[in-house]
Amino acid sequence: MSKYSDKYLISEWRTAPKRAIRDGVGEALVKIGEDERVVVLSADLAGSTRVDKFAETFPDRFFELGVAEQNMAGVAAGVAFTGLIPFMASYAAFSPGRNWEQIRISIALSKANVKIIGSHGGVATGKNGPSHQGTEDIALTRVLPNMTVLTPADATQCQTMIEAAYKLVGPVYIRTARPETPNFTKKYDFEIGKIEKYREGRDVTICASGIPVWESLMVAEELAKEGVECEVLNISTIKPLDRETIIESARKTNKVITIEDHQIAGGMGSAIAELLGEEYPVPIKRMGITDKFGLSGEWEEVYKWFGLDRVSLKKAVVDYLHE
Amino acid sequence: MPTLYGTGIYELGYTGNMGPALDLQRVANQLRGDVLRMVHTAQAGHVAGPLSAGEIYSVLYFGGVVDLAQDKIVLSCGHYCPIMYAALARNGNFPRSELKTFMQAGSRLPGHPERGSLPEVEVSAGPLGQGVSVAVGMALALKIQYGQRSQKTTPRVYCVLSDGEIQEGQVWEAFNTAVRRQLDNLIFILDRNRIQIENYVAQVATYGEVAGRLEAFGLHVLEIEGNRTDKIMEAITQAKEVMGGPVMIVANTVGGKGVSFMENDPSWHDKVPSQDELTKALKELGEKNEQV
Repeated sequence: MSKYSDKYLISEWRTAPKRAIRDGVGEALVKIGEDERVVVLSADLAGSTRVDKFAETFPDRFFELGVAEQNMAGVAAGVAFTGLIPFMASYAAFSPGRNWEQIRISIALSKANVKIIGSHGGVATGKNGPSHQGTEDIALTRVLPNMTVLTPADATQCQTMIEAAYKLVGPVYIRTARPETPNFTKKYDFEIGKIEKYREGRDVTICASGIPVWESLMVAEELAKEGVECEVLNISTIKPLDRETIIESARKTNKVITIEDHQIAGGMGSAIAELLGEEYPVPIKRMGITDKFGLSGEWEEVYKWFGLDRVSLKKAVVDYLHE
Repeated sequence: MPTLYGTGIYELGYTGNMGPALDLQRVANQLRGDVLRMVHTAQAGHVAGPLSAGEIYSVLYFGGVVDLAQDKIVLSCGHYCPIMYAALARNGNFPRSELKTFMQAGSRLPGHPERGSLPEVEVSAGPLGQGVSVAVGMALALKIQYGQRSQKTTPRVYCVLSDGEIQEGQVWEAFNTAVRRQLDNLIFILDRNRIQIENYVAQVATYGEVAGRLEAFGLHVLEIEGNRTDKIMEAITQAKEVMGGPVMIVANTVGGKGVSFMENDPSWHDKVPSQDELTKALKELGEKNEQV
């Protein structure tokens, strides 16, 4: 039996065609837009967040609010209070980056049914540099009571997540990303709060989110040839964490490594460390951006710079296992 | 006859109907009395702002110009909440005796408004400027939902904000959206009491003629004496006739209005009156010297 999940992965996942995670946004919104309660708000980034597809299909329910993210968060809350379901889109660096307090009070404290799409998550944003690379957005959103936090690993999963967020009543943050990366998962019935085990293994658990998930699978495959069996979990819901699946895996491998395109302080890795530290302490290593700002450059080069590429990841896992 | 949008700033005239206006003035002072009792009981809370808005809240809840069954009243300057709670209690939305729980742990009347603590509390507020955007979002969404219905039957959103509050940049972002989206079901009431926590507003920010600044943003501005219920009644009546965009009623008020030793003094922004001061203040307001 394959160690790789055929429930979640397409058979040709290793050579999957590339699509940007953000591309899933437009298609999903067009689908759920059949519900007349769905409204989309943009802060002058409709094209690059991919909500422009909704704007073309449902122009009466699309509102370009201009470069004003703080106002957009408040407007979204007000729209939600009348019973509609607003999705608000910008770059993660600006929303929740710039409008965090509006999200905190007008949306989270108020339990507003607002869906926040933060595009251009992580240093994978590339050439526009640290000002446009959302590297703290997961930390900012997961500390907010009432907030659900989702990170898709590819375009297909992004689509499913937007649909799931639409069905959930309450504030949701969904982080997307800019570059074209392998679109390697199957469409399935995504359940918020339930993560996916992509590969079975006994030696180490790799908890990954976003773009690094596919790379983690490739690393696992290379290491398998060297006799190391990695378990790979896609931490698709960062809040609420799937305690059961994570602890069960840690219990089996007794070694956990986390990888994310985000500051290691406060991100997904921190969430895992908090959980395991309290409930099932095992050695844990967090990979990600280590208290630095991002860098302007081609995204693959930037990933190498920060040790998020396959070679660095593989070396880190091997070193960690030999510690 | 509807007023054409953007015809300019002007002082509203006196209508001559003093009957209900006199009653509303009385209500304004009753609300002020409640505010002072609540703050005294809680030994915390804000005074000058809620007092300056006595007439505004009297008219909004008791003037008959707002359709309380379908319109939304948004308080953006959240620290004014004692007067909102007092108005809701006197309107019968909850027992007046509950006012004494203001700011107590577990109370439905927290120190700054939290949406849902009472069904009528529309927005969470406190950090200034946020309610203005939320009010814009509500007005926008109501317009979507009521579609082609005429402006007269679409539910309206009334948003109370303060002149210290407009130092927040978000407020001006929200005005841009309200004007761009032609939200003629949205009426702002700016309580211009000219004081804020630290000082007089004029010492902190140079607004010049604030009405001109607001008009330059595209708002239809009505500037009035804000401590007169007849003027507020008339301004709201007028504002409801304006089509094509939002109206801004600049209500020139006096901070701490109604209590001589609190008026126009920034130190009363959030000072708790002593027992003697409370007794003296209630007397000036023509209110009974009793606790809530």
